[in-house]
Amino acid sequence: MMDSYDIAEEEDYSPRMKAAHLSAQELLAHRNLDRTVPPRGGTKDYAPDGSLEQEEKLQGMYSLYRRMLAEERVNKIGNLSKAIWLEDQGLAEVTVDKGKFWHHIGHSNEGKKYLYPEEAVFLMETNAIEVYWNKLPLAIQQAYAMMLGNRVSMEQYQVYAHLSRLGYILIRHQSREHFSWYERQIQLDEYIPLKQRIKEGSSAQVRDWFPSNQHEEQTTSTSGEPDKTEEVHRDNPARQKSKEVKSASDSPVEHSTSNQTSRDSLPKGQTSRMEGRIEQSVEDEQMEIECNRKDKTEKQEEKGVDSLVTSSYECKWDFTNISIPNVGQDCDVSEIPIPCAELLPTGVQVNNVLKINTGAFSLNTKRGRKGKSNSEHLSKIVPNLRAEDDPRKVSRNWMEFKKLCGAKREMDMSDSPVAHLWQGEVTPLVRPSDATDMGAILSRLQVIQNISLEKECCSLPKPDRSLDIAYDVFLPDSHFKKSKPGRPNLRVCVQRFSEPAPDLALIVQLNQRSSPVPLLWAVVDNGDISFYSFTEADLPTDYHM
Amino acid sequence: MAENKEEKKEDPKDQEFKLEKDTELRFEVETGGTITLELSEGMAEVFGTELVKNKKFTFGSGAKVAVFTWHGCKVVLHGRTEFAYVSKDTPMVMYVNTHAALEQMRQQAQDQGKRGPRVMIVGPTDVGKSTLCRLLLNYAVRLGRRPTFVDLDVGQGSIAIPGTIGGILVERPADVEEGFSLQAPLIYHFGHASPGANMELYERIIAKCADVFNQRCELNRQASVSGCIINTCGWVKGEGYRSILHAAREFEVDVIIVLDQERLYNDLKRDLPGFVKVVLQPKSGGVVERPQPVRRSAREDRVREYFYGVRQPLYPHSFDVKFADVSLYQVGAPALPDSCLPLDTQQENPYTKLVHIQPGAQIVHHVLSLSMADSLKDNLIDTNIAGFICVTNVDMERQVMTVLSPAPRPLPKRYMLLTDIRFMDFR
Repeated sequence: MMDSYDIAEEEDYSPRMKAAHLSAQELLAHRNLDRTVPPRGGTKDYAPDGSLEQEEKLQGMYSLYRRMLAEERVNKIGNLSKAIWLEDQGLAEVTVDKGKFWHHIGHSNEGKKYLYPEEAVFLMETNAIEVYWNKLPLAIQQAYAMMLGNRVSMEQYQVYAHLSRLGYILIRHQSREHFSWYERQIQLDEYIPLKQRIKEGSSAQVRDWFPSNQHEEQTTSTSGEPDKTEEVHRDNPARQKSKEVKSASDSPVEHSTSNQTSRDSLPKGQTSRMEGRIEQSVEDEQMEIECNRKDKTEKQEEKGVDSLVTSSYECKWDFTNISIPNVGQDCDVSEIPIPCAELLPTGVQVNNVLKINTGAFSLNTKRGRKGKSNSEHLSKIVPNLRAEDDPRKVSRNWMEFKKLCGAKREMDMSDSPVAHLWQGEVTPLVRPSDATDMGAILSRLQVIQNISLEKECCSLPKPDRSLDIAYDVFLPDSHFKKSKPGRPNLRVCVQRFSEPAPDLALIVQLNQRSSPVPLLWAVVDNGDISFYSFTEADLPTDYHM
Repeated sequence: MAENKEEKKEDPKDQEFKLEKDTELRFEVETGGTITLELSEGMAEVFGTELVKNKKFTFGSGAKVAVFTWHGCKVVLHGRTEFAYVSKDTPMVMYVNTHAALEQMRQQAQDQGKRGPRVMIVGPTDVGKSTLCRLLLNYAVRLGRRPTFVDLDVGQGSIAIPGTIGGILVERPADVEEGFSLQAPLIYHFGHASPGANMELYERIIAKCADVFNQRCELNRQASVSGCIINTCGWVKGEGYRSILHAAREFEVDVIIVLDQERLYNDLKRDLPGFVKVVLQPKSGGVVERPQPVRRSAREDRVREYFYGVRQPLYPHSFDVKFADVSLYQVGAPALPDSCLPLDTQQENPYTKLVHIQPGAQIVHHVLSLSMADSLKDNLIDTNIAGFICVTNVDMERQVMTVLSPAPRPLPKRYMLLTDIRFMDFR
């Protein structure tokens, strides 16, 4: 029994391996192999027409493909790395590491080097490694079957292989960047090794103020709405925290592992650095503006209660508590209790509870002798109101109502040359007062409203299925370090061509998760890979002369 | 037979009524007669004003009175009545609950530093709007509030003579016989007995009145918290309806009480913003419909009361005024068709235009409003009124007119506005 898998040192070669050794002539022949690839494209034959020419062409193609598939990979033993396939873990453990692939492929764990299945198969395909299983090297076909199998789909492998061949560095998607953008900017990642950061877990991490990086791995399919509230929640405590930091308080705050209300603190050693420069990206500023707006509205509400007597007040009478007797048809109060004594003048004593029986009073419902009803009369006075514009429903007190009506009065257009257009039943969609700029007019004419994905994501329903981002892609870079990959240049999601297209909610969710890194969707159609991306573009709505 | 008649004339019966709890005695005074009312036992009130026991209250011809009691009482009527009966079916409980709700709103306003409730009472003619106003005002004042009574009824107004709108700050309950004491009312000239004669002007002075009321509220916290109660005229269709909406908007009312008309209630609910509470309430069974002649004579009586007083006689002065000493104006001009105007000119609103009038025979027997304006720079329309005089005679030769005035000569102000109200001074 051989315990060590270091086969290079073994003297006893199995007979199969002996047969794999090539003679010198064969090696030379191999080197000069015909490397032409059959041409792709050309005119398409739509249907079999039974001709011999077509048949021959087809047969030629088939034999070519078979030959290609059967191509052997030849390499010096000394150049080949070796790995062992571990079925239970689904990883290949590298025993002999030759060549430069370890620079950007593979990971290590507890001193041992491991390869993911797609990496292992790719390296096998590119003739850099031999993977052993049960002490026997695996053939390519076997490798595909065994290693890829259930763990990595064919499409994912194809994408991996394609991009790797092009030179990109791909790693499996890490949902969390262990170092935030800010920490990288202050080069904190140089000082704290990644392992320590991973070990410490998230408790010592300064959460980035971007929404995407705040998503934990558990939240794969959160709907947009809690995300949005989460963001604002996080922002407020985060901003409060920044003030705490500035005042140099060093108290660490307990971190709860729940997603909703997480409060983070800084390890003591880093406060001094944090105090210095708190720069915010554009997104942060947007968040800040949103928070400021929220603060302002809260302040206004507070003001309303304390305002002077006659300045219009925001609060209105609460008629659910104050019941004025009403015998109208739609009044739902049928009994009014005896009012308490302090509300009544001395000498007045109400003896009975007031019972309202709406049918008991016959209240003059007969029609007038002549003349139009009030509604007809009013419709000539008041121009046709759009429902959302109706100040009566929208306003909460007289000040708002008058403001809205005042705005309407300007539009009343008794002196406008186009006033006649509004006199009939069919009125124009656009009012002259709307003509401030092209954008305003276009917004009035739009039937389908544009939505901005970042702002409106909370109103989207949950995506039908959950999809994970497959790979983080880095540009070919000699400075790439596996221990500190940094922010990827791209992220890729893999899909089969036959699968349904992702719905808007899914796109938005994944885009958010991946932002600010662009997300590509790789759609694989039998080996042909197309890359798609969804970016938001605004059609121009204005023009300037 | 003659003896009988004489007996009847000399000796009207004393009617004693015993009233249970929550009942009211309704009676109307015969034309030409007077009635004396006395409360002998218990407690009672007349439209919210408590009756003092053993005091005699006198009501003149045509007066319609209802005496209501919460506790039970005994009342003695002395004199001839058209009718007098006791009724159990009154909406007083509803009205008092309304008052309680308004009082709650006032308390809330006081605690929270807000504005007090502004109530408007609308309904067709002869449903008891003025009475309900009086009731709510009395109850409020009895609790120590200082509500403002705004009367927009130009036909049967109770603050000044017909043809005006006005407001008073109520500080005492209304007198049983005389109504609210009219110290320092705010009056605006309208000039006609019906708002339809000049709707533009009507809406404009309503706006001005509301403006002044708001200013008062800013200065006087008590008045602001107590709110106001607005009485409207009985015109509820078409343009009248529109004027109700306009008044509601100008005064920024919080509650509208619709008396006795379901259609108006539904229309108001639909047309007013959602934060205004509109309620429908029944009219009292004691409300009597007044036909046109009665209303006309009621108007004349109001003007007469202005000059000659209600119970305490007032002694107006009659003196001559030279034409040169006064400037007389009329509000409203006939609208010119556009074809009469030169090109490029636009007609200013004819309804609120001031037209200078030369005093002449056409102003005899008309009541004139004396404006508080000191010069023409103050817009006469928007200035409140100091008082009224009535032209009894015009002498074109001497360029002098004889006027009946509540105060002695000389007239305090120079600018006057002509009204449509006519008053024949027979005494």
